[in-house]
Amino acid sequence: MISNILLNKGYGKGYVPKSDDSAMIQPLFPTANAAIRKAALDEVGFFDTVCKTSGEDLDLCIRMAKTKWELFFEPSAIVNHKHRTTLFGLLKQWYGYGNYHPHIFKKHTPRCLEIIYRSRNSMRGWSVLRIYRILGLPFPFHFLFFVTPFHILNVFLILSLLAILIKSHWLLMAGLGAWISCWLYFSGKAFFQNVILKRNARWIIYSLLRYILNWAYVLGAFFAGLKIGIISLEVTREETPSG
Amino acid sequence: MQLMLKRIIQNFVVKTNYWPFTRFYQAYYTLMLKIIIRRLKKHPEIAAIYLIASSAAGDSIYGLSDIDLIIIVKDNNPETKWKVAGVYKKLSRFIPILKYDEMGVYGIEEVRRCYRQTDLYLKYKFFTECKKRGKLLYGSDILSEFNELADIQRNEFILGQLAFTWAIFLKNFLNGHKTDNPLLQKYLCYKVTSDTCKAFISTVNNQELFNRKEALERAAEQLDGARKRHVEKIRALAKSGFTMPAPTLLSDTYAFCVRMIETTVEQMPHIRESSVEKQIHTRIDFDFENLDFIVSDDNRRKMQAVVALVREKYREEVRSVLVSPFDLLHNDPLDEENICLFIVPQRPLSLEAIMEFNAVIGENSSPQQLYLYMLTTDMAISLNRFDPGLIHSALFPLEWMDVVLLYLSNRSSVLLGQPLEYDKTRKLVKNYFSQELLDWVSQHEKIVRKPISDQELIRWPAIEFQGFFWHALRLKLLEASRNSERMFIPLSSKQVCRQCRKLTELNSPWLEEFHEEYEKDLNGVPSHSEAYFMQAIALLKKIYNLDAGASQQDTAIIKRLRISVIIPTFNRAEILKEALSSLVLQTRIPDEVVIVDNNSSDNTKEVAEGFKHRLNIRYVLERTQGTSTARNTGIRNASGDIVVFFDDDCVAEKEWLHYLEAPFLRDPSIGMVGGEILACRVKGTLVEDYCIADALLRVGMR
Repeated sequence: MISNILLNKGYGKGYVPKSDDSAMIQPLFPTANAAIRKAALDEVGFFDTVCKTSGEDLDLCIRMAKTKWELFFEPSAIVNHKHRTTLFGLLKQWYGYGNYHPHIFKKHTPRCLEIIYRSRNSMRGWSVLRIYRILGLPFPFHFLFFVTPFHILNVFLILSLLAILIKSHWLLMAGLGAWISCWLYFSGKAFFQNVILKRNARWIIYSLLRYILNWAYVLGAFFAGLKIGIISLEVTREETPSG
Repeated sequence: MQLMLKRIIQNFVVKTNYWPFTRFYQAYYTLMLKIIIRRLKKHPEIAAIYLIASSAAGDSIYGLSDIDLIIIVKDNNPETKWKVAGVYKKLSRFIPILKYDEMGVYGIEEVRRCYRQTDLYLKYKFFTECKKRGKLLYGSDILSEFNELADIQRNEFILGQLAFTWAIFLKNFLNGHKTDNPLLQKYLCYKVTSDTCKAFISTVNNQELFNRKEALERAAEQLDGARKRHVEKIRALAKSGFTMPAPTLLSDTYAFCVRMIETTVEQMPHIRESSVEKQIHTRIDFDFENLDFIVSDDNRRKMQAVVALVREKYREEVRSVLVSPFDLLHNDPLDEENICLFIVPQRPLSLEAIMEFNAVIGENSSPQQLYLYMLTTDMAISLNRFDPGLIHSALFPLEWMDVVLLYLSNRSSVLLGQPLEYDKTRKLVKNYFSQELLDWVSQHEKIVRKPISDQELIRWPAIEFQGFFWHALRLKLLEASRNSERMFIPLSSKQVCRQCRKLTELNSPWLEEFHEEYEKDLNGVPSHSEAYFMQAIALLKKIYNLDAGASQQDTAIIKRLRISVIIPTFNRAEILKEALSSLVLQTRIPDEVVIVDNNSSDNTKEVAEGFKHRLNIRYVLERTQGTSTARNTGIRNASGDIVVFFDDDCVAEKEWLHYLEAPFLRDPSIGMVGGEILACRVKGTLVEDYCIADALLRVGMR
């Protein structure tokens, strides 16, 4: 299940296509900027109160997309959002985002093993490559695995930890080297491709923040998933659009 | 993915200023064509394949125009055509350059019949082009059996082409849809100018030119004075690879082209009683079997269903049906999947009848893909917007139908039934203006747009009405000036507006304000034109001596939606203040603002109360923590037809609510509208900087 405001962006102004397959790509209009017809709301039902800080909008959009009501994206209706100004606030926000996704995932998909790989290499203005590979298999319990560069990065980290255990110098060197170079590569790619930066924002800080936020999101989703019986390893930070 | 490669290459060309176009693209294009032909050759039913590199033929600029493949099959059997189209469709999946609608499949007999019988085909359809500059890629040349075109037809054909370039140019680049790319603007100047030159040369010298450069050079030789200078400027522009600073403004080119075309028309006397009338009165009986394949399969079926329904159920009421994949009223090309139906009934239908009709049609198609307009003949004609800046000339009669036909022919759509009829004499005011029409306008306003399930759908007042209004005034002015010594013909609505001051019966103080609103409407800016509707109708009735006793229920139809904005908040009084201030500044003020206090401990309540005199605030306290609970409470307390969710840490742009509301008014099947969320650019901490720098961090990404 990919929540999907970024596809809205790709489509531009107009009706948002509703996917037939509830497991796959879903539209998302965040509640900070969404208008709903009262009649539609009465039919679809109100927000899910389980979602305390986030996720209720995704849930509502999915339910709405299942009915005959149309969803419309209007990019000219602009709202400016003030982001959190403290690191703690930001971490909490991302942890919160992760926290409620598994719940919605469980609510709207059948039991399956879902592995999603999505790589999107974009430059400003137009995207060169966009791959979604999605695998959904029937499975005794919910399992969601969203493969992104972030995971690839951490495979190397785990590898080097293993190397410490088995005391292999070469493996440790290789693992750490790969980890660092991946880090540099992925964050550098995102950094240099997107940005209109202010001067005091440094790349190292940028990539560090990015990394930490990814962890916050993954951990949030993982722990929340465990509580309701889903193994969820996901991160959506990496697949977001650029520029 | 389909056209991505093509688009990338085009982008590349535009961005890198590498002009004229690359050989690479031509090579790529040729290679792709070879692959297609090799594959299609295997099909035994195919008699011939023609390639039409449409307006780019002979030019070095290859990529920015489309290609057309015409495949001619041996028998007229639809199944064969489907098969061939299927092959092509499969190919187009792998070859990005091919677009599905760039191919036509025709049977031999069909070609012959169309070619011989119809003027319309002669002028607009592919076969003439096949004949003239199509390239036979495979098979025997079927078209060789036809005679050469007469000179007159040939000239008309060239001018017809020209008018199309023009229509697009004017529509898109003079009427508010200006492209940001200066290079593209220059290219358009170049294209339009050189096309005009082409037409000029071929008229004066009776010689055909396909090459734009050559046309420019020839024209520069033959012209004199200001025109020559203009052409030379454009020529220099083309030579410099479009890099020099813009020597021409769009309006400059526009004025120039108008003059050029006038000269061209003078050179060609027979054009003056041009064949517009002839075209429009030409009747074509189309069977569904003969529908072009350029329309996608689904749409074809859908259209068949709708038209069959119309024929069956509304045989007596409907005069003709036009189908176009181009949304004329909004000047937008629709997606490939969408179609647009214009239905012209014999007489004005009542609102109930239209609604019933829409309901019946609605059952047979999804509202998302079918746009339907119900028009009277008069309305259809006046639909041509009376734009500021457009002019009326003999060659380019801006009759609505003419533009429709142009689009129909070039946007690969199909005419079903007969085309519209209209009377040239309608230019006389009396014929043009009927009591019936005006009544209809004042009762139901002008256009009723498809998915009607309740009245709120009606856009009011539509731009078309305003165009109609100015046109009516213009006709009145013309009539008045006919009696005076000096005849002044206003060309744009602005001129009309100014002229009205001089005539006592038309002089009204609000006219100028109304015109300002009209311009805003044309540019897509929110306006208050509805305030003038009643006055406009009254004025029309006055100047055309119409009975004032007609329906007074205009106001009953105006139904606005009530908007409730719901803001859940928790201990953020300061930020909430800013959010509320941005709501106060909206161009469309919300009817109600519900502030749900999620058990805050600060002065949230005071802040909310503070805005009471500026907004219709409703303060609700919700003890249970959680945004969704708070929002649900908000929904329960909201009284509007539309609930808008907003956050306390957001600041809305001025026209935010206006844009959110618009889709709901347009289509009652829309349940939810979402907008864009951007990051606030304020000075802040490192984290804040990070957030802004990282454009990835949109709130929506979860």
